[in-house]
Amino acid sequence: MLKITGLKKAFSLGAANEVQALAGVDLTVNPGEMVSIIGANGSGKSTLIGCLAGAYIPDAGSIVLDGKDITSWPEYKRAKLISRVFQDPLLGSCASMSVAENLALAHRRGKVRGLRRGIAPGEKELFRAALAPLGLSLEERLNDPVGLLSGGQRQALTLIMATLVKPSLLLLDEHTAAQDPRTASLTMRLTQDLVEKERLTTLMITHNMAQAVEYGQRLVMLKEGRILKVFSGQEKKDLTVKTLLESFLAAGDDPALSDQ
Amino acid sequence: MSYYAFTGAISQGLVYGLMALGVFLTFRILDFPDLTVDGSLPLGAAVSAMGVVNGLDPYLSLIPALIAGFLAGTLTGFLTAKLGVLHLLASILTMTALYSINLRVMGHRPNVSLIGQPSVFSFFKNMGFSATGASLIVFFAAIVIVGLFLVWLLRTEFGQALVATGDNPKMSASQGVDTRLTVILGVGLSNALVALAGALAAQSQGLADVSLGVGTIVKGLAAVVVGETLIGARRSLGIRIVGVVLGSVVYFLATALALSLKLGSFSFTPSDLNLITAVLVVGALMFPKLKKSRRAHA
Repeated sequence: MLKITGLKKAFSLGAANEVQALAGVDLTVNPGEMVSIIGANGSGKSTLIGCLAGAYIPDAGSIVLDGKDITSWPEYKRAKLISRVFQDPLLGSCASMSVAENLALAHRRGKVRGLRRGIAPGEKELFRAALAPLGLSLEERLNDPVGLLSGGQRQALTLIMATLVKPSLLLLDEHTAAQDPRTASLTMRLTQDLVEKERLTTLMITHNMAQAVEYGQRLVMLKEGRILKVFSGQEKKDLTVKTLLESFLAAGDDPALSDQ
Repeated sequence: MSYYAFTGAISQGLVYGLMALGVFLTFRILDFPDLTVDGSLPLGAAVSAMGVVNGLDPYLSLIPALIAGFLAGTLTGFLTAKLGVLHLLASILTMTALYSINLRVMGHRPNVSLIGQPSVFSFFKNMGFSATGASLIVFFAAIVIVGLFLVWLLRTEFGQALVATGDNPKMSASQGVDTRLTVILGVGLSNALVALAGALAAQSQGLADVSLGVGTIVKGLAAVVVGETLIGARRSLGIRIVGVVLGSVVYFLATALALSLKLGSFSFTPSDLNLITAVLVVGALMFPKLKKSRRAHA
């Protein structure tokens, strides 16, 4: 379970261009729950992800994950609990390393890396089994450098890498934004399958309203570093892009924030 | 080129191949242009020479040389990873500091003579090998050991973290790799190899000199890029490591050849070597681009 309390983060504190990116965010994500976060540019989405992933240390507030206060843990240490899928498919894997080597890195997420073999005997069988359900024949390309894969294949690989060791929290950082609509919907379907199968506690940041409406048990709207509105339960189930758009307009946000 | 110049170039190519493997580790694997090597090469020479002069076994004297080089590298890594100094500048700072340290190690002298001292070559010379033969044997053995060590290391979990950190530091951190520590250890390891090369070179030429390191990084780069020009950059790790050593040998053969050239009354002198090297590196760096643009025009 993820519990965010009173999270605040400002940039250029004290300067003329001071920005209060997060102005006190409280949010709890229950085990196995998927929450989408939507908001215009500058609403604090990326800062929130940054604080969770360890790229930023918040000015105030706390982040507790599975009972551990990780607020000031360095990024590499949080990797024990959190796995991440980036917007840029090129960021999630190492181009010069093989598919198997990338999976092996992910298989050791958050563990001490010693002088044992980088890919243990028999590990490749496990990787093949993990890749086969994708239907992309990646399991036959274990020794190919990842740089040879397409963006969509790389993002699918990154998702498998993120869930190879079950994380306490899966962070999806606009992970379909750089993909064409068809690839994006394939990636989303894969995401949904993995989240449901492994009952992953998931936080998905997105620009895409249709995605936010379709997936997840709750939808959180951010504006100027605060939670503006939360749709949950029946309200979330009945939500359409049209009503979501109206909420944005009511909040005075430009609906052009959406990518479509 | 005389036979003497030929074998000399091969043996220099092998010992500097060790140094070039260190440069390969930082420049290619970690994506960290490291100039520390200009200081850590003579550091290894100085530490080993002082050990030998003070009665330490020549083989055992390689251990403090390795450790000294490792520490020099970790200093550069620390300045970069922990204090946020730009990598290039951090390595220049360490290199500059090492100049003073090297003089101090050698007892405030610019060089230490090893003439008449036992060396790692003594055993083979006593078996009846010539000086050149003995150095070829020792350098070749050292290259094989270090090459196999690197191939093994880079395939371990730690080695894979090292490769990943150089390829994609953001992804590595998100996979739980302490990228700062990895950089510090990687640059340390690289300079340990460079110091080892310095120690062996000093014992081979019977002299540790504070100016031994001038141009080390350029020679190392020359070996790396010449190797890649010869065998291609997209090869398996083992082949790339062989390529670096091959590149180093070819580089020393090329410079020996250049020195033996006579164009009328003009000939190159050893003092022209740095210029020749720089031109060679530029040429080798341009080579893949030229090939590509010619293919584009065809």
